[in-house]
Amino acid sequence: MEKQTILIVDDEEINRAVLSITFGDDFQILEAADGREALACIDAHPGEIVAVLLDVVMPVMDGFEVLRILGERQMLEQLPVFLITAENSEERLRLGYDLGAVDIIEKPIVPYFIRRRIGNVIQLNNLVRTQDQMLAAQAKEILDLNSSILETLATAIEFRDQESGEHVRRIRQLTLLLLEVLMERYPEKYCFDEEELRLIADAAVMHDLGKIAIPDSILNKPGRLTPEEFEIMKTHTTQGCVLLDNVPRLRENPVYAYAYDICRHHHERWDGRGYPDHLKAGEITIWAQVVALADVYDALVGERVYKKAFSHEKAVSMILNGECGMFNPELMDCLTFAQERIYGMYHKRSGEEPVQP
Amino acid sequence: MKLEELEQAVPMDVRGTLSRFGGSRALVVRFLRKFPQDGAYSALAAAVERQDWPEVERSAHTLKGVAANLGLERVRTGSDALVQTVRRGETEAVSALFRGLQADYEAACGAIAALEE
Repeated sequence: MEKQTILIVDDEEINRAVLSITFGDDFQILEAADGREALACIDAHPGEIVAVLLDVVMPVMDGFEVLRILGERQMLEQLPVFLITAENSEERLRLGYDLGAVDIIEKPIVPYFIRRRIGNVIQLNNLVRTQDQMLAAQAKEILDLNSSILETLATAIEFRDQESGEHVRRIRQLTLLLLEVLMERYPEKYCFDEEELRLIADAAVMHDLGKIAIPDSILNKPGRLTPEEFEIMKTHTTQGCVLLDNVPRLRENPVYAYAYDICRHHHERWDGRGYPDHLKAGEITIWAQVVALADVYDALVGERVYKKAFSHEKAVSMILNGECGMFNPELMDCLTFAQERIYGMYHKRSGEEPVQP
Repeated sequence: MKLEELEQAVPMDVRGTLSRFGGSRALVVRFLRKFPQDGAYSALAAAVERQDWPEVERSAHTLKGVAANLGLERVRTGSDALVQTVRRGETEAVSALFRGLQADYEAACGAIAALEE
């Protein structure tokens, strides 16, 4: 294993030398001669230093001040600091611990003991770090599994109206792309963190869940739907919500709120002429609007039982002209702006997972 | 003078100091030779002269740490006494204590100067 790094901070060269010799065989050594140098050194080696051996009385900036600053920056949890000091006043030693020092070691140091005391803490921290990494990897695995189960469910439903799993995957990608472009174009208005993006993308995948409740004769009817049939077709939005409400414990999952909203409102339109709730403009959440747009675009460029596929250019101009209902002007701006990226997403070169509508 | 003879002359904790320098006599001698040039003592002397008590405390504290790591027991205890005295506010005792420390410091420096390689 590569040597880990410790930082030795003391204004006296003799004291630095003693510590350097004591730890030099087992660790990479960094040295600083006062508190300010120490902070600069910590900043210059982020995540590399596994322990700081810190003198208390130093010119420019003393050890207590270094501890205080590291504490304020909440760095002491990852970075164990040991005070190495000639101090023997109980009150001042106590202050060191109160400021977050892991241990206080008195000068003159005894090499064997100091190696043990500091080594034990570093070892324990290494163990915690390894376990943290394992936990993070496992958490990610669970999230990935969660997403893939949702995708499987959604794909099974899409299968009924002759769709492949590609539609589901494209809606996920297109939703994420549009959200990204929204943040680029309107940074003061839209800001989604990684967690939120993941939840919206997972929820987007489930937008047509309710189609499982629509009879085959309507879902796969080649011709135009009669008004009665269309009314039934429209219920796939609310049926999706019914389904979501029947999944045990889904309500406790943070994806539920997004999924419910997107299932119900991905056919609403900016001017209130969508369904089922005839919401208008800002009454529709931005993610439901985004999924609605993604869904329309994907339907236009793909072949359906009732229509042929349109070209990318034709699809974009139909949407911009309002032929598929009215959308948020900001989203229209994003669509115009990101046209090439959307086209590119649908026409990836072979080899990197072709996404043909 | 050999390193071991310092033990009697100064006195000095030769074993403990050797262990701090990885058992290397050459390193111990090298760093002992740096001791007379170390700034802490002269800073202390000047601060006592000026009656600058916070600086007396600070530099005595620094001298204590260096002397401790070099095993120079008397300099260590002498500077520790100065630190405690200033902290207790008994500044009238400082100059007498410093004179004692000065004698020990000079004895240590004289012995170090006589050290063989």
